[in-house]
Amino acid sequence: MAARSIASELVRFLHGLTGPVCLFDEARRLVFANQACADWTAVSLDKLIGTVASYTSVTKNGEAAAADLLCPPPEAFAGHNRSGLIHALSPEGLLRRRRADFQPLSRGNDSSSSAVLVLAEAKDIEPVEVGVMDATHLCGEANDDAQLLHDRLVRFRHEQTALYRLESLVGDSPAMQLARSQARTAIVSGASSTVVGPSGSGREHLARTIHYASAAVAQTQRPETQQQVLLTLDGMLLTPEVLVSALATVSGRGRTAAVTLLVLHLEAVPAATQLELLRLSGQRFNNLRFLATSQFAPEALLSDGRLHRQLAAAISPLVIRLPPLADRREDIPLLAQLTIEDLNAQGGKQLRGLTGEAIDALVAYPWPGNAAELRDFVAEAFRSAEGFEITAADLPRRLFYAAEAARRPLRTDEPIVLAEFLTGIERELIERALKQAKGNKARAARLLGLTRPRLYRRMVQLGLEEAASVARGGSPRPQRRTADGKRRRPDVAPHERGTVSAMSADDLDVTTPAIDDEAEFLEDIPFEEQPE
Amino acid sequence: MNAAKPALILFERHGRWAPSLRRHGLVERLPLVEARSFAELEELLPSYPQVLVGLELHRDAADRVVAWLGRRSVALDAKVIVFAERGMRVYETVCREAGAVHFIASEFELFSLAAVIDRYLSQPAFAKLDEEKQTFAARIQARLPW
Repeated sequence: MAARSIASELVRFLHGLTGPVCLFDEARRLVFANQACADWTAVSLDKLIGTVASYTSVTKNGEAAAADLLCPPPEAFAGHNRSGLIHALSPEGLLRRRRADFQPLSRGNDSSSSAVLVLAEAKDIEPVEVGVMDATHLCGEANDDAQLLHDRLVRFRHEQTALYRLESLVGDSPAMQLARSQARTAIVSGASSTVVGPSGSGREHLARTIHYASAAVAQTQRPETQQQVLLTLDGMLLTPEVLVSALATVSGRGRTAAVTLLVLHLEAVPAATQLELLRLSGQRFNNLRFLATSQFAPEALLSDGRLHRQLAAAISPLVIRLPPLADRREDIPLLAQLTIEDLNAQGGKQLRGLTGEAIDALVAYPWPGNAAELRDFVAEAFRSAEGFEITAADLPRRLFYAAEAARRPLRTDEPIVLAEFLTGIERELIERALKQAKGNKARAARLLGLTRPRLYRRMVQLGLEEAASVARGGSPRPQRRTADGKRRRPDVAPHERGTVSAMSADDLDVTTPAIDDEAEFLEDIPFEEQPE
Repeated sequence: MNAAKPALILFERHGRWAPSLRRHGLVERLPLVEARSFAELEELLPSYPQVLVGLELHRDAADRVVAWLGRRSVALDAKVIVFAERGMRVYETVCREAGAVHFIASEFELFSLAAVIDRYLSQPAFAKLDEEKQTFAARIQARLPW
């Protein structure tokens, strides 16, 4: 009876404390939390107690997230006194942090695992704003790199999850509705996916959204699964050395680590690096997911020979297409409003939206830079707006210059003489083909899609070659004659037999398939057939 | 919007990496612009779309660097290389997750930058810049095969 009274007295005392106090058992199950803990985490005690926590920075939802953010480090469960930080999400979505002591409480003879009492301070760490504090202030043990990094990862992943939300993929256009539904499929299934779209359409944003949302889904459904590691590779600057060093950062976690490789600018990854990527990733990871972004669809890259067949198979189970902004103008007002509300969320100036004229001006613009350009324009207008709304006058001037320029014809015309211009192009192509074929006219003709005689004729016409007899410095070869002594017409396909053989070569148009130089045809006749 | 022009904006406080890059001949073909604060860096960026940014990662400002990297893909079209001081290798995972193109934690690793810079300079955006200066005829010539 006395013991029960003491226990209830103790519980009443703990609930009366202003600082959060909670107790995790050896299995990391939250078995006690005081009222201050519930108030600080904004999760009720009955939901909080009984939750199994993980020491992880992967974001979850609800009470599982709250318990994870309170979870002591593993060494505290192993019986070591530790101090560090605990976290809580405020209703406004901010990540609050407090210093805490993690006190191991051993039971029985088993000292290898302990329950842990968490005693936190009564006040949040100031300042809370991300990115403005000195790293040495983050926890009691400034030299503890692992603790520093854990705290950094917790905050980084919360920021990223807040930044990359599927809800930010707004738009009512059919293309965007399809993209959203495909993104949801990718998130739930965990399938490798490629996001295809023009520059500035938000490909990387969507790929990252898929990753962070998938990681949260995986942790909620299977809490025992490992954290998914995201490794970003930029195809534009990817070299074999960069690839090896990047993969080395995650391969230390072992073959079973869940790794997501985000390959940006897939179209720019060199062929040799693609092979290396396939080889190394296959060697090092069993649980690998590819996410890629590209300007072109994988099947187009494959048919151009710019994508290895095996890599195409690895990345292509799901292809999500983001349309250019100019093709979904109906989404522009919504996207602009979203940008304004994101800027409002930063806490400074607060604007209601855009006036009708401003929206009209935005909708009329061609948007070569797509959604990214729209965001830049709206952000610039947001800064210069003085009222509660962005007016047309607040929008950057270049938006109107572009519209005016589109209405006017080019001021300076660059005249060309078509015949001369085309002759120049033809000459250049013939020269290049000859160079490519190392002077072999038959091969050059094949490259150009011409017959050899026709190539030769054009070369003479363009002054690239003198007539055959002159070029060889001797007399022309004997003409082939028929049995009756007449000059024999060479064997020519009927469609090549021109009707203008009497005309001079100079009179011939390049498009006329006429044959007028029999000496050239004789060159084509095998030697043994030539008359003695 | 400014036209893309290649450059490396190096943000470091102590001036350690700029001499190393020069010593290794890595910035001979690439204008090196130095910044000494985040404010200066943010001010420079609009003038250099698609710029290569070198960020020094040191213990005192690790949080700011990682937070800035995390916002990079939303706000900027910059490619970021992290130059970390000794002992900051533990931050490599988070920096790469945030989108850093490369992570250099020692002067001995600078050799790998040469190929990255070559690839950076061969980007279509810079080729397009040269192309825009040409006449129509020269542009046609430039597109001929072989």
